[in-house]
Amino acid sequence: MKQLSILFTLIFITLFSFSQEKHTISGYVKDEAGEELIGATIYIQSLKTGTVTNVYGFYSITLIAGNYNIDYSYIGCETQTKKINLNQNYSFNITLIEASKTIDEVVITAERKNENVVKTEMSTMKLQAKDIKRVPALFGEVDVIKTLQLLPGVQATGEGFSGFNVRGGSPDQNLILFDEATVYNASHLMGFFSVFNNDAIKDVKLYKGDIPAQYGGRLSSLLDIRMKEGNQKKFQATGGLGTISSRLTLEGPIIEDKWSVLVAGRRTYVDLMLLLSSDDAVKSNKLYFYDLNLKTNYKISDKDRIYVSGYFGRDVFKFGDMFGFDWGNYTLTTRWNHLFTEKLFSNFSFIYSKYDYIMESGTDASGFKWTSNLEDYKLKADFNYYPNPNNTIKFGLEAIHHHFNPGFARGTGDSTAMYNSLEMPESSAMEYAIYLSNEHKLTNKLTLNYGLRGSVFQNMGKATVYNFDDSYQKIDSTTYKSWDIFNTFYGLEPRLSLNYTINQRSSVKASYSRTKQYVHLASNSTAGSPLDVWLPSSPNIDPQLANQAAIGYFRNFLNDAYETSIEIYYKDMDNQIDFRDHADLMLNPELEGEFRVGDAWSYGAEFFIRKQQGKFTGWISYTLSKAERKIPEINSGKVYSSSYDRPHNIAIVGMYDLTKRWNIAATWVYATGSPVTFPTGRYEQGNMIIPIYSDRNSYRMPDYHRMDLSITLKSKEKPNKRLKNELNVSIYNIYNRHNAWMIYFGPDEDDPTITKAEKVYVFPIIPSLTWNFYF
Amino acid sequence: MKKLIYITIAFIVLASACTESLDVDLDSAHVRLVVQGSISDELKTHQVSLTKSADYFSNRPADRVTGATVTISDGENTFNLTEISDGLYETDTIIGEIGKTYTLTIDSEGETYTSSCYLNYCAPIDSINFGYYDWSEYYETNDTMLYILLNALEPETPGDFYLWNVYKNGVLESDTLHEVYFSDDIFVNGNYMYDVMVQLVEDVSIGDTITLEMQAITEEYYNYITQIMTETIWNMGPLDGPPANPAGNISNGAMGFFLAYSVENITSIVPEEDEWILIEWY
Repeated sequence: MKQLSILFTLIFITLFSFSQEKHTISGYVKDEAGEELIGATIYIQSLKTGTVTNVYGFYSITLIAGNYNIDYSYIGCETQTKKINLNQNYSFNITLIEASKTIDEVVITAERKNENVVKTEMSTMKLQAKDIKRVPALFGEVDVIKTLQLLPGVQATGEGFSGFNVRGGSPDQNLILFDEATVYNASHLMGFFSVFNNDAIKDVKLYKGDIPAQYGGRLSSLLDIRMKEGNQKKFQATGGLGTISSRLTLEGPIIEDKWSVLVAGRRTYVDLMLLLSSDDAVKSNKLYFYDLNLKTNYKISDKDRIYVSGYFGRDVFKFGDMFGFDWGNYTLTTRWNHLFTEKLFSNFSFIYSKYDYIMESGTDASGFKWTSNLEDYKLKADFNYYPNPNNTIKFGLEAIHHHFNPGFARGTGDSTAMYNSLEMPESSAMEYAIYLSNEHKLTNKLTLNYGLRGSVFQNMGKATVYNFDDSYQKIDSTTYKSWDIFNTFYGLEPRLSLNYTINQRSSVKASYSRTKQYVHLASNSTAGSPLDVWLPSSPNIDPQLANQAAIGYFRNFLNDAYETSIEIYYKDMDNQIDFRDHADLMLNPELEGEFRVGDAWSYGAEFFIRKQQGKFTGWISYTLSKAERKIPEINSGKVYSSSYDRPHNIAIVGMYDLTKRWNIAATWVYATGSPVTFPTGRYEQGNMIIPIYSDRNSYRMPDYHRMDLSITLKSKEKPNKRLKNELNVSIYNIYNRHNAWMIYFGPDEDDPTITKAEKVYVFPIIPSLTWNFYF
Repeated sequence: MKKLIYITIAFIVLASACTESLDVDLDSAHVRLVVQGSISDELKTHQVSLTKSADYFSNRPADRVTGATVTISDGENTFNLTEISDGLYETDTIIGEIGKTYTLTIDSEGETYTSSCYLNYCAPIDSINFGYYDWSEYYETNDTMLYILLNALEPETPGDFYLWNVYKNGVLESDTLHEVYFSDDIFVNGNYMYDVMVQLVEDVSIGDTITLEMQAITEEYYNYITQIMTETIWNMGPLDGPPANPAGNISNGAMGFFLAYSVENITSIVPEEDEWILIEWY
């Protein structure tokens, strides 16, 4: 409560203002295609103050009447300056022009390229779709999550996997939002590709800490991915033919500057090769995935705008009539932006998301079907209030209805079916949150961003809850009727950050945040699998809680051409989930009895240097970190390294424009091997050799390193030719290092008394070719 | 079912995987007693074998533990086992009874180890059939592989666990643990099991004598062998949970298992080919 009263007092003070005549400038900042730009800066040179556009491209700033020069700028775009005599409220919608079109004569303006230094936000990383596209990719499949894995503090869960860990947190502690809809399983094909089609993405931002009060529900990170709105000016097609998949995105205005539509699709075609086979049985096998993105937005008036966007993706694996397995995500986001006044922006959303899988085998009496799904319905209202240049207040509330149907398996045969059904108990929950935050510029040098989020989680019937004794044996069960609320958790989550700007080139930032997580992924493998199910907190499982503090120094060099930063963080996590040895996580109605809970902590230093302008761009990141856990019933209660502990982690990314047409990009990554448990002893049983293991995670995999290269050749630009295309050659693992995917211990095939170790590697050198076009 | 999933995932991920041998430095592990013993409701010699664990790369047969005192008790009577060869202890004076708990006690090198196991009831077998897959579309083989299809009524009580061995002409074919079939009754509890695949025999000829042995085992043993398989032949690396030692039922830090089980047998002669059942791919 004390936290709450401090917050209200602070915000209340800011709302007092002196009775000078003031006016508001507001509007949207867009690029040439009419796409709203997120995080574009609006800067008033004479006042040395400014604001940034919100996630819908909207800005608002209120100033004392007078003459001003206002700079509008955005990374990769030319800065535009507007002179105004502010004697009334103005609405300016600004279109910024891409700088690369004028790359030779690009002028680096003196101000506001130092956004990274002056903003209060820390521990965040922003990527643009066009940068992601240039990074070399596995099989040429451009992948936003794999690009994120090259940033400090972010790690791949395993070779080639699109799962990621942030600052020692587990993969289920990342909140992945696609147009604000939660994506529960962001990977395709057993984790090798992410579900995001880069052609449909506008903006990607990762928060590794210092998560705004507006967001919650996961401990470690927020990955906020925004879909493109669709070109407002003209019809445009973007697409590509790749080694394993093809893509096509169509977008354009239905009514220019008022109503636009975007449709994007992608499908892999490995299995299409099978159709060439003369064998019918082989032909009937299938292995593919596809994604479909749809978006439309309609501008009703300057004050009202509606967006509808959806994602639908699925992986399909079919082995003749014998076995079928498919899984995927669905999301639907409906949003209404409304401007109450020039100073008060609002957004109302209804969001649906779902993850499900179906596994089927056979058709006769021994036929079998296994289904699992998870559904969310979310209602949300967000408000941005811009009282004066020194304060930006955000507040809002949300309610989510979760429905969990973790697993239901049954025989599909007719009356002769010989299999009984097996059902994991269904359950429902409500998750509510309310938040208030203020970005408060106290002096020219000191800015604070303080906020508070209150969250409530309620388990709701219809549900069956098993009761367990101290040794995790089921005693009995309790059944609750529909809509019965039988368990409530709540908590306050303060979020605080500050920026002390030493000068225009350097600043010190600090942040503290508390996050709570009420849903948990029942997965004990590092790689994860599509079969993993999410479970709510319940009388048996307490919510996860994290407190994270970070401090950083930010410094730009050479006219802001080089950005550098050092961040040091410490994260303490309670109620961390692990599972008993040999846990049975699949189709286990008493799954909650497999959970073992304890503490985890991680700390580290992240070093980052980036160059975003000029012919040569790229970054170097180095992370030095440690992540440990202590769980009473695991590893005899001794501290052990988290599976995500990679003490040294380096990524170097370089992109160079050789000419206007030739571009070359390379990445190199290095990481300490992940902790693993190896056998140290062996014994014989039933004529087999059985391993006896070391303490949990007391060995390490061999160190991981790899270099990738890509070369892009663009078609010649001709003024009257609309079709533009480019050819990309990507080479993954160019020096063909056999990075260990797993170490297998087992008996020799010829002499079973001999035991030996073998390294399994998945990706040797892999070249691929992609042709992209747009018109 | 779960096996099928593992195989599927393995198929997808490892399709492109390659292996190469690797030198790994491993620490020494402390030596533990290893027990493998059982008692059944049959009139036969029941054996307990005692060995020692060794370092993982020791690469020689396990050391045997001699001179131990080994007894089995049914709560009323205690039977001594005699060491008939190095580390192998046996008795033929005891027949297990359904519903009794048997306790194994071992005194060796100044330490005492114990273990208890309940002897479960086993449902009778009605009949068996021989089944085969038609692989001819995929490859040619002269090796006749037949699957044993079980017909039996599974009792109504939930929580039954089974293990199947197969003998060809009196010789145990499933002599290695990973050749044994085992199952719980989660999906079949109380149902009649029609032609459920429970074993396989390779290189069969018409007229061979095939014996199927069905054992009613305990849940602990079912979990133990499942865990052994998970740590050995089903090992999926990063797709699996963290490795852990299979949990046996011997006290005092020893590895291994002492099992009490009841047995049902059925013997059948391999019939002419036209009586074999073609197994569909579901």
